[in-house]
Amino acid sequence: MMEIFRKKEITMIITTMSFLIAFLPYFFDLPAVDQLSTLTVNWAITVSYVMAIIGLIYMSMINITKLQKKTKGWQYGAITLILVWYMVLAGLGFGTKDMKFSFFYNAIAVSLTALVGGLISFYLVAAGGRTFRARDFRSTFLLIAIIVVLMKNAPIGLIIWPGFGPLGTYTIDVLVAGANRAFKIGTAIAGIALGLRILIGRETMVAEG
Amino acid sequence: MVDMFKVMATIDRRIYFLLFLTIMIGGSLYPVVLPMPITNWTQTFYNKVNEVQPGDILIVHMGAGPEVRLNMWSAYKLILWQFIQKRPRIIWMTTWPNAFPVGEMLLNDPLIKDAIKMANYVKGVNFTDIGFVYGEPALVNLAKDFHGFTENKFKGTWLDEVKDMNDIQYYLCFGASGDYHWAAKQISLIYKTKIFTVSDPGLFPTHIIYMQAGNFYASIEGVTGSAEYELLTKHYGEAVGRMGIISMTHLAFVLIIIIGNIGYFGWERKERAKPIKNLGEKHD
Repeated sequence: MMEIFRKKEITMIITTMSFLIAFLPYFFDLPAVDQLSTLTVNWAITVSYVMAIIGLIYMSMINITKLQKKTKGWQYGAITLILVWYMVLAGLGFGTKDMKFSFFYNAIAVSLTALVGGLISFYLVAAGGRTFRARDFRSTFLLIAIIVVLMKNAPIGLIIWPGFGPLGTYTIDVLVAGANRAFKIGTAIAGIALGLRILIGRETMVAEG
Repeated sequence: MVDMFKVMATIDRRIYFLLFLTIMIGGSLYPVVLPMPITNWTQTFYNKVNEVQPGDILIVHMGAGPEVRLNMWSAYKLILWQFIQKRPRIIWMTTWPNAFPVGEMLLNDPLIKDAIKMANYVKGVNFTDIGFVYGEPALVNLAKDFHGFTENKFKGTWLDEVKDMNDIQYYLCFGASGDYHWAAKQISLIYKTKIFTVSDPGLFPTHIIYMQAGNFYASIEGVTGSAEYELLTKHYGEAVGRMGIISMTHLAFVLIIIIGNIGYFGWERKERAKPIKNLGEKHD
């Protein structure tokens, strides 16, 4: 019996049905399909909640095994477990507005994010100084764009030369946005192609489960 | 004799670190306020928020993590403050687990607290927090059938007049990650809701695309936008002060690049052109 559900065709049928249920209401007024679409999307939401719980359990199991075997970095595993479960229990027990929950978030998460951002900026500058070279036309163009945008985003740049303002705006609004648009259209077309490949069973990873 | 070009091309990165640290500490201790213009995007955003009428319905989408505290906080705070001045009815929702505390911080900020008090916001009457709306599928269903998605928890309240996203005039997306993509795809393309977004600098060109396509009503770049918003709303604070440090670090970065390139043309390029000696020997 279970063999039937492992068949590639079954996966394909489920995928195609889910696709059509979610896709058709965007283009046609079909109340029954729309209701079905709402229901399946609700299932997807429920599955995503369950996935978060599974992720928490799985992460705990990995770190508990690490602690038991005393493998390299087990101390970090212990800190992770303590903090994650503290946040889960404090959030569930006292609510996210309680000081016992928010203090840890504000004192640790916010500060560490600032720390990471600050550290990256140092390495970014060092890397810029050592690697941004005008080696050929393309790298020279990139360098000019970097300098123009940096100066445009700093008030002192506009004091040095007011032209950085319109030039920087043009770089961001036209050149960068144009390149981004091309990239987005490209990824959208690639997404459609991938979807079609899944639907006609050419993507073996999906079709075979 | 010391080859200055070689020195310029091979500056130790610790010198860069020290230079940057000095600028940051100096800038923090002695902030310099420089004149700065208001960009067209920020001015447009400000003007469009002013169009909001008392009684309009606004969804505040809180999807930002703690990273916004670093550089975009003034924009978040002052945009919300400006909206509150216009007295729309507010539906508050959170789309990421780590955005809950950020939302709390925002609502507990003294400026926002005072504005809420002054504008007579009462929970359940003209301000309702609908809680966690996780992921794009959830936004799809919320937009399509508000009460069905919220399991009729808000039936019998002012939210009765909201059937779907067509009944909501404004949508303020405080999403630091990809939340705004959901808003563009699932709301503005289908419903009449006008979407405002706040972006970090790296993603702003993507927001420009959505604005040019008419998907977003207005967008603002959060870092310089914070300072510009402080100027527009006359609430001068940390963002305007920070622009002095940003100016100095940007200028230092440009100078570092220029010095590196002088070193490259004076020494490094010739060195790279030389044939590599002892090729094939083992090196540590």
